[in-house]
Amino acid sequence: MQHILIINLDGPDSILLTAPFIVSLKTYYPASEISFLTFGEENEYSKLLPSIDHFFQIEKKKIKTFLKGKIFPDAQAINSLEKTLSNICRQNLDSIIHTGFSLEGALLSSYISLKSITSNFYGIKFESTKKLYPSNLWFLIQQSLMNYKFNPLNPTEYLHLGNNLFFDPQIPRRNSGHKNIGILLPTKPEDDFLPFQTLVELIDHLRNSGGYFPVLLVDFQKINREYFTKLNRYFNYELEIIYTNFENAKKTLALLDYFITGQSLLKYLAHSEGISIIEITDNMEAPLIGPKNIILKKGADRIKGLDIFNCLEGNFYFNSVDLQLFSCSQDRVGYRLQRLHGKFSFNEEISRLMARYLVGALYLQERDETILSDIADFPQKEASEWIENQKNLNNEVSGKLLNILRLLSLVEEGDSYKKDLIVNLDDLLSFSNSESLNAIPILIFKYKIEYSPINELKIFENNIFALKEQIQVVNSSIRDLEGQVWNKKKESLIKKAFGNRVNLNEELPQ
Amino acid sequence: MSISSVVKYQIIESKSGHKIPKINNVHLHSTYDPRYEAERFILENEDVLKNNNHVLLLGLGFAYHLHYLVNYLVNLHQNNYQILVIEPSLKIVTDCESLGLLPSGNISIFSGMEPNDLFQNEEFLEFLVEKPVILPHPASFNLSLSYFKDFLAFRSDKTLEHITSQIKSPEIKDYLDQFQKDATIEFFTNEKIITKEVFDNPLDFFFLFLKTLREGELKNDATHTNH
Repeated sequence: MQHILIINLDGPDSILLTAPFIVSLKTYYPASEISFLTFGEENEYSKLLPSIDHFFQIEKKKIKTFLKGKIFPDAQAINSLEKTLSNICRQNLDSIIHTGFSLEGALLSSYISLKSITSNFYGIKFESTKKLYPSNLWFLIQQSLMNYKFNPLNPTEYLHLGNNLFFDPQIPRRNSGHKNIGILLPTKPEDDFLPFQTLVELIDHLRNSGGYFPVLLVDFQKINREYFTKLNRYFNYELEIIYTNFENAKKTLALLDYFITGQSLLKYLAHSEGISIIEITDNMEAPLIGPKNIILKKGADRIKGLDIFNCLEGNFYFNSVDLQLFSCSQDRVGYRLQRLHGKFSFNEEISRLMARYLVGALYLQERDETILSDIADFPQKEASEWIENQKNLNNEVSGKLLNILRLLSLVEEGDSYKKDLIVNLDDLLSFSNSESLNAIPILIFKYKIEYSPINELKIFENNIFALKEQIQVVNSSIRDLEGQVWNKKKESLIKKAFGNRVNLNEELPQ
Repeated sequence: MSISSVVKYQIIESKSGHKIPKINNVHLHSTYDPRYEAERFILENEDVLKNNNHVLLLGLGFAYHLHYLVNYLVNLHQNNYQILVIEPSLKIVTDCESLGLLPSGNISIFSGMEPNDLFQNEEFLEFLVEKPVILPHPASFNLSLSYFKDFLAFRSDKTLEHITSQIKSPEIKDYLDQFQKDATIEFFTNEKIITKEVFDNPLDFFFLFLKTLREGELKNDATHTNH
């Protein structure tokens, strides 16, 4: 039996975000025993996670009071922490997984890893050289690309890849005659995500369609009875409204087929229950991906109830002009966002998709043609412009890199070469903030140099040569896209020339 | 009055027929009606009591005020309350109990202990972490004024020498023994751990973790992090 310890001291969002990962972990290692360590203050959230056998808590508030209070002996804090940690270390851990990024989490991970030397560690912790370092490539990529504009993977995917797991949340759902549609009610009528009028329109559509049963969920701590009575009065008191806390919400969520929500931690719980989510958001930093998840990015206009209803029906025709709609399509890494509706910048969209393609090509040795094919469906002018721009940027990057390699061989011969090397290196690193696809390998290179436990010229050289190879992969990825766009162009030319007489899957006439 | 300075101890009866202790000629409750006095005492302190379900009562007497305090807290918090009583005199506690005057409820009584011993007691410290309301019973408090003054003025010894004597883990004791006895934890984490070239002992991380809990972050730029 595998003993696995998961550490997360990053707060409720991060704890609940771990849920899909724990589901995968239990699928791959059904006989494993999983323990979860968090701060006592967040215990109520960790208790909602699936498949956890043991819960450990660090009483942060208490320890802090012991350490800061003049009347308390510091020994009390030390004894309290030591007691919790020795109980954990006594478990003969096979794996320790740190799923957060906090300094506290990294320090504790370092302590527990050193105390359980035979265990494997996944995530970030401190090296004995006092530097914070990821345990493997995927966590390193995640750390390096933390602030990258077109981050190709989401946190769930990084967590899976870093632990050699594949993200495939296909939880079988029951199949009843009608679909239960959970709606998390906002607490105020003027809520931006689901205003009163939108809510009424949506419930109207659900009730009239016959196939759906709306279930309205309310966080009992933020209850606004007047508002909900008004809503229920509108529907002759026929609505099913469930006032719930987190724990009971979990039971209710299990009965749903779809969950419509704004900003709420409940979405993570719904996700771990395998429920498809329609998330209404105004920022796209960490949307929840999943097989049938839909993300609606709202603009300035009110979202119409019919638009949300259309999402459920799979009819992506919208009344709201400034609404953006994303679905999730499966690829070789997990699920990627696919833009289905709304105005957007083709340039940014191609960069986002190609970043994902490149990560696959670089680190999974997989070139996902479906991504190229998605881009090839964009207007050809936009795709060609993007390719041209990237080629130019690539030439600049390659030039800088060749200079660095030349100067590296001359660096022993004089200080002027050293200075030149530093100037060229700075120039190269400046591409990490550019639109260039090369920003990805450059950011990873930068992180490796900055946080590498060993600072030696040899290590630097090795990293520069590795970067050179990666830039070649960037180059070939751009060529892959160019080829795909060109094929698409050929297809449309042929279609134009032969009309509908030719099936393109068959051989072309000579 | 210290724990051992009781010269004259009597139990007398109030006009209402209730037993009351008289110590060194001081009556700890009303000689007319201790129950009426106790009820008034709790009502007078309602403002401080109503927002806290943890109460530290200084002075037990024969527990008439404790009885009303329990009723008051039960009304407000059902069973979710805790009272801790400090009574310097063991004799008062045993008599109160044998006379059947101690109410039942979530009550812990600490008696016959010097402040220094109290502040080393785990149950007592755990209770203090909850930031209880401190409610002095006036007659008991005045009778043992110097004891309660010492109690309220108590400050823990924060030197490593003192800390080490209270540490349960032999491994941590050995680790702390390497450092100056008169240093504080704050001093040795800042001056001795963070400045180490290599973190070669798991306890280096243990104490840095405690430091981040105390201060919120590692202020010294000894560790590299992008957070």
